[in-house]
Amino acid sequence: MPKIKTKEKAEVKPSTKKKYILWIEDDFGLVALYKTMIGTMPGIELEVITLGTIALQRIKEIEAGIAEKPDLVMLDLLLPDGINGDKILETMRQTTSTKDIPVYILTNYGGEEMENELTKNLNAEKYMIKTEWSPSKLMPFLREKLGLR
Amino acid sequence: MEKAEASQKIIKIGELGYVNKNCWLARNLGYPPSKRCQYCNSKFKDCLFERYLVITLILVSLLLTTSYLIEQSISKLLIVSIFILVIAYGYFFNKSTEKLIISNFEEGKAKNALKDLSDNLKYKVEEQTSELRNQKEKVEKALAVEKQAHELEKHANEELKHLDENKTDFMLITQHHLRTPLSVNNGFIDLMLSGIFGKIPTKIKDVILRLSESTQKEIDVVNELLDVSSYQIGKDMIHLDHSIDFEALMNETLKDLTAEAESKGIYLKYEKRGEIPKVPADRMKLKLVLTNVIDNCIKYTAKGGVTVAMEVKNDKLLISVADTGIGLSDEVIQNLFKQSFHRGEQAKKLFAVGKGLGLYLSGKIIEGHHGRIWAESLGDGKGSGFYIELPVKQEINQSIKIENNTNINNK
Repeated sequence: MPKIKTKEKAEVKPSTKKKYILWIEDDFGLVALYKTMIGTMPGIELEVITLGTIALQRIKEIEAGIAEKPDLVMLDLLLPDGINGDKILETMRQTTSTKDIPVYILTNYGGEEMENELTKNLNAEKYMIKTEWSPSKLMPFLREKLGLR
Repeated sequence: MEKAEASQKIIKIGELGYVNKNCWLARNLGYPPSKRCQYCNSKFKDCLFERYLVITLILVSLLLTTSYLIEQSISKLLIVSIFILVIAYGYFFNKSTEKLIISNFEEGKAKNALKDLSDNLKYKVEEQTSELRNQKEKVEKALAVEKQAHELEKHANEELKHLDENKTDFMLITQHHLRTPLSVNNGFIDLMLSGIFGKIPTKIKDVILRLSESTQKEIDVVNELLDVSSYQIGKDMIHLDHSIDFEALMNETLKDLTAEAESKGIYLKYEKRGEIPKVPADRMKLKLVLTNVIDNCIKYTAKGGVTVAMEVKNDKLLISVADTGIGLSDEVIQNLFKQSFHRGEQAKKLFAVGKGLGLYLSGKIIEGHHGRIWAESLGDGKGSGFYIELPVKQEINQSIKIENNTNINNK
């Protein structure tokens, strides 16, 4: 089994050579899956945040220049503390240093209204349903979006 | 009551004791003093003229008696002069009295008439005011009832809307919760099969493939469950967009389904027949229809493959999906898009999961586009063809609610 490289604390900054994905996901089964998956993908550094409040805190830290800006954000919608993905995306879009970060919604919540709101009004790159985006489809997609071969 | 009294007042004239002109004639006809005048209802003895005449006659009698007693020529002349004077006085008195009587009568009549008119007017005004008041009260009551009904209706609509939103939210959350563990299973199975954990022994790989298949089927069921429930709730609407590039939509759909066809070892090809204009449609819903129909064909085709074609005929876009699968009987064809839990008998034999819902939904969506969807078969075992016909021109910027009168619980 390959070594899984994940970043658990904010102050440990990832190598600038690697592409840095901030993955907001609360389900431990899925966290394990995505960590395993990214672990097989060289050149990518992964950090997982499981709570909305921590995600909002991170946006503030990025704005203050004390946390690194991710190359790409994978965002789940329903989070246990009630600070959901839409709120996180909205805050990101209102914050200068995070407003241009590409955000991909990866959720199992399939509301059409929500999809329109996030992709059209809050400029999410894509609205993806987890059951449709298993690793064999997700891995090449992420490589392409991060400009990796 | 008041009205009757008022009309009586009109008749009741001469109450001051004067007699009118008609009574003068009546008196000349010799009515006894105790009788009442048929016009003024007063007794004739009260008539001033009669009193005057009686006084005159008494005066004449007194003078005649006096002249007889005196018996002197100067006195006779004087008496005759006085008599003439008295008669003349009586005549003029009578004339002036008559004038007075008439003028008083006219004045009284006018006064009475005015009073009666005023009473009448007052009565009528009061009557109409009360009628208006009643009507106003009735209108106010009706308005209050209407307002109450309106509020009830508004409240009921809000409740329904709320219930509808709650149901949809409930379904979305339920679907989310059902999908999450399935995504984990599906994801890890996918990782295992991709070989990142090393080579898997054949026996274990077979088991993993079965797990993969059943997980995928469960994902399909969960997906369809929400589609159907949201359509049953009636929330889903068709939002027409006039510039749908069907070629791009078709390519996108086929790209998503290629892997499934390849995994079954069958072909999936697209034949373009002529230029395809942009067609008004709800892109998201149409993609669901195309996916459902093509996926259905792939599922029931074991050998050969599926051919999709698109062409424009008589201002209508015709999409055909033909497979080389098990085919459909006439009975199945008739019911295919009507009932949500209907599947062909042949299909049941194959124990395929869940596809009854997809075609039902597709039928509803195409209906909402003013289009037509139907199936044809060459007979059992000879493959089937599915056809979707959509109008190329249709009024856009409209939202069509999908009619939903089929109760899925019936079947």
